[in-house]
Amino acid sequence: MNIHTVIAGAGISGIRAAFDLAELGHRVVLLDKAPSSGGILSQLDHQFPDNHCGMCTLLPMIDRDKGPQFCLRKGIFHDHVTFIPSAEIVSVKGPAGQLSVVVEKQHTGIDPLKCMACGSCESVCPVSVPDGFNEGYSTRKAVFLPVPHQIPNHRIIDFSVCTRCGECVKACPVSAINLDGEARKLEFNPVNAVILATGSGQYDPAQSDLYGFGVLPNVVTSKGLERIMSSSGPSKGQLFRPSDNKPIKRMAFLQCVGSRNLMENADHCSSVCCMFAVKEAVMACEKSHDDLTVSIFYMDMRTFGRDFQRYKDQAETSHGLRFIRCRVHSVEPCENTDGMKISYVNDKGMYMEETVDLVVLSTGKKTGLTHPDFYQNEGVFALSDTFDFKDIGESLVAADVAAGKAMALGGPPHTPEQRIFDTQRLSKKAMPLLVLCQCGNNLSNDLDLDLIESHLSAMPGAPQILKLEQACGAAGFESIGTALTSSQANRVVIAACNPFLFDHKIKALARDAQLPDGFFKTLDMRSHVTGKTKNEQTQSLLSQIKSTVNSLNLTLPVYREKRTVTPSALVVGGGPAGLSAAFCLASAGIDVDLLDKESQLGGNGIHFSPGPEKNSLDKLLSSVTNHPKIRVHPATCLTRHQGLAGVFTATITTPNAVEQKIPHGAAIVATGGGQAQTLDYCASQHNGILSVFDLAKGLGDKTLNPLDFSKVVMIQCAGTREEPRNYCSRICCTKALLNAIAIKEANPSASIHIFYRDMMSYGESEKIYTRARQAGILFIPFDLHKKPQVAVNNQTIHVTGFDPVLQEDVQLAPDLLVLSTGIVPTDNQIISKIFHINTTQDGFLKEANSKWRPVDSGREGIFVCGLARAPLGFQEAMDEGISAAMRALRILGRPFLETPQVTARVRHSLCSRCQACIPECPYQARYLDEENGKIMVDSVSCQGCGACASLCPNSSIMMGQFEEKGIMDSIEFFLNEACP
Amino acid sequence: MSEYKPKIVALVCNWCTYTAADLAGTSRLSYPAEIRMIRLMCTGMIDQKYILKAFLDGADGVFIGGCHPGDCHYIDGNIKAEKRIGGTRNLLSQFGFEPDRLALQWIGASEGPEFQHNMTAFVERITALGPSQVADRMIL
Ligand code: SF4
Ligand code: FES
Repeated sequence: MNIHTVIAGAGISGIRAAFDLAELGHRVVLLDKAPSSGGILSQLDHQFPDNHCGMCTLLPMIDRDKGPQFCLRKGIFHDHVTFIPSAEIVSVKGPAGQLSVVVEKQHTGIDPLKCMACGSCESVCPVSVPDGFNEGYSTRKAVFLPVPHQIPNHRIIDFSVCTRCGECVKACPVSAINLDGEARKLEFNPVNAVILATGSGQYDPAQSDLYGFGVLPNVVTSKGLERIMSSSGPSKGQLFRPSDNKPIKRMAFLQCVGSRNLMENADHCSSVCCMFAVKEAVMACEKSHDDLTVSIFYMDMRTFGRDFQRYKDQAETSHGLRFIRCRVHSVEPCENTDGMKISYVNDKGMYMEETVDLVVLSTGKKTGLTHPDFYQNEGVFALSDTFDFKDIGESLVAADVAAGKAMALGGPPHTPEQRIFDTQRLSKKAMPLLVLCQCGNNLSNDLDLDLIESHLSAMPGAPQILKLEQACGAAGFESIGTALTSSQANRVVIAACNPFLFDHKIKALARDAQLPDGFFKTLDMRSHVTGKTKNEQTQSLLSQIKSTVNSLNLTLPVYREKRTVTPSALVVGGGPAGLSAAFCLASAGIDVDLLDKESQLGGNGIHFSPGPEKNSLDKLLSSVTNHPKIRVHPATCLTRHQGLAGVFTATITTPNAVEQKIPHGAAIVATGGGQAQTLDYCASQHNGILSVFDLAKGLGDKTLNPLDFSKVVMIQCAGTREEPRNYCSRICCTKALLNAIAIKEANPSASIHIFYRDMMSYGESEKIYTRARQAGILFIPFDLHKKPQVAVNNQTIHVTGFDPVLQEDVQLAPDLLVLSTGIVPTDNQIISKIFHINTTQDGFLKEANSKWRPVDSGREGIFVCGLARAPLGFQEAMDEGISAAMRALRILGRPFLETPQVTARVRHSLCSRCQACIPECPYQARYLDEENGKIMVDSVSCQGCGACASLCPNSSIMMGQFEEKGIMDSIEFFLNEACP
Repeated sequence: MSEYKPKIVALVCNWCTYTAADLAGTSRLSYPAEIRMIRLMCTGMIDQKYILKAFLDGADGVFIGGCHPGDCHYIDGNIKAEKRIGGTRNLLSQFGFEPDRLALQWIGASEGPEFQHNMTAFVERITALGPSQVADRMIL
């Protein structure tokens, strides 16, 4: 089988890129150096900005049956993705499209095919070392489970600490351990592309003696705190001080440890630590029922995501978090207690001391990382050239962009597998086959399988029983196959241990027997059998088998709708995001209709002055306008949008008022935004008062001359980051810094003051901030309650601001006052109604989930991106456009959309058309078909949650394997268990 | 007389609570044998009928476990469930039965210990309440 792409790094970006390509029908190999998947996410239970998880939302929503439906933290399972843990790429050779990729897979000591995860090895291992999963706050053995909740859950051996005593080899009941193996080389050839999503790793604070990390036990990293608070962590979710397990009353976060530090050669911002700290502070307050004082020592609180400022404000008011602007200069142990003394100089220039129980270091990204030598090869795409930290939403967008590049290298078109079903066999009454694995007789101590057999034969719809010594081996599967051919069985239940390992094999069995995959069920005989005595356990298993067999018997073959996809897309908005979306789609062979209400394409980009941004926009513009697959409709409005994912129809009105219908399979909304206006700071009263964007434009196209300005004042966050526009516009700070540097470089004698609240020069833009300070630009911070005052008298601008260092007012009379007014979206009211999608309180188009589905709207087939969704930089907007295009390609890239197994269906004869279910559906999958007067389910959008089914007063909704009758019967089985 | 063992049905969602149960299982955190667990895709799938059916068939307690608010795989199924289950608890008490026989808890995927703890606590609570009268009285 041809592998399309090899992805190194199975963190969320790697997983996303893998699913992107897999959903296009490509085969992907995903590997990770670590013995588990999920990257840092495996250690974080909750993530900002909503303090929830939801990683499972990343699983494919279309064609869900390509993988089992369960929590993504457990592992990666998809028919088209092969995950290889403990492996690294060692070489990439050859031209793009025909790469030869060599992977080295570490020897981890235990044969996964033999191991039955009993854990005997771990219990006899004499070695004890700090457990990396818990950041060293617990210990583990040399043979251990790297991530407790992950499957496959066989252990691995850490040979760097293993003493080779051989105890585990003796203890293993199935001889699965081999201490002498060697790393193996695997070669994949030909491969279209390689994606590097290896992440960046965290700065190690033990490198510096400033904070006492590694010496003082109560100084922890932010990741360490995460583990200390985690339910799967060392104290099972209790927040205790590491040194003595006492409750914590005072906690301090020190920001920018290892970042924004020229002495450590770290002239960058790690972008996520501020929000990470606020999140942990909130979680800590919640855990200790607010009996905790949290202080966050920071230089700038970088809340530059669309919803982050409100999140921080909320945290501050509801938990009383203290935000203290300073750099802490030392952390020392207190005498006779386990507390620590923090000393710092506050924003008034006063020396302060505070005692706390726990110090949390917000460690940034690791520095000094280098790319592998094949990094520059053709066909190799790295997610980040600079190993940047990104939040989850941004990581996914970056992954989509990389997957898009890999996709562009070609590959076979998506040809979904055509399955043949044995309709005769299926139409017969349900005949179940039950496979009972005896696990090489290992289960006989705990379970009485004979008794189970005899009881089952008495049940109605009794299954035919096949007892196997070992179901999981090749021989086991062969016997199941034979049993299926020789009998008329049309339903199969396999009771075994670790049944998730069988997923692929079961699908193969189903294919051979020409039965739907959904007619095969597995039952975990180990982890879901409760009880202590043999009798209890047998009883528990028996009722589970009965319930599974019964609900399978009740499951009827599903009529699978095949909706032929219209292979074209509609893109609304021709700014950077819309253009890049259109180009990405067209390059993938999709016809695109690109609408813009303006007569000229380019959005905000038409104001760009000469420079790299303009160049790349111009290039994009000409590729779009010249692309044979893109039809541009300038000065055109969208008036209606109807239909379902895959088969939408848009009605547009052309400039000469002609209506036109455009059929398409998916739509991308990129209606853009622009600079905000403000009434504050005498904005319109003097022509020496400009917005940051107008100054940039003027300097760029030389309509403004830096030599004309001798005194310049800039005020950041003018009218933003406070209600009603309480969000950061993300790009004004960097723009202001660049403006200031441009003026200063051309006119060194000019004095420039920048009043700011928090300089949002995140990521690599920190370097620009450093340059600005080095150039002699003066920065004065202000608070909302002490904003600078502006007055215009006799044609002179007067600015009065409070300088906290001098503790007095400064008076300035600039000849240029620049206001960073921020960004607002275009009015999205009408467009959101046309598409039935939501907007935020600030009028941005709302995505389904800002972390996990950053460019999906709440409706399948409709995607949102660019400034219409959130304030973004130019490159970021273009990347989002690609991300939206990649999401659209999940639909457009396949010939038809097929109903998955678990979806809601309506028994129209029972339905009273009360319509109660329509608003209840979280995916807007239900609608009233007015022509036929029927309530319908869009089987592509439906995710099978069952919210409608549980609400329906007439029980008219069928949920596949979660049929009402089956559940009711199961309840009965469990409660009327006859004691065997 | 043998010790009283309550009959308990647990309806759990596939994504979080079932994963936690799995984790409890694989981490060998044993929970009471009285629990009979039924996996559903989401707590939002739980029809009031299922709860009443369990009580009428002789359950002494019904435990419902789902994702934390905001974590639901289907966005807000758990919030819908919370409302519905609140209603069912009212119904139970209006008919003179102890509403505490019906519990709803949020248990996240990595919260194996919480799963064990919640199950143990629920069994204790139901044991203290003694056998449920629902089935007997409804039949009469
Ligand atoms: S509410 Fe019904 S139609 Fe909507 S996703 Fe859930 S099961 Fe499907
Ligand atoms: S999926 Fe867990 S409660 Fe909805």
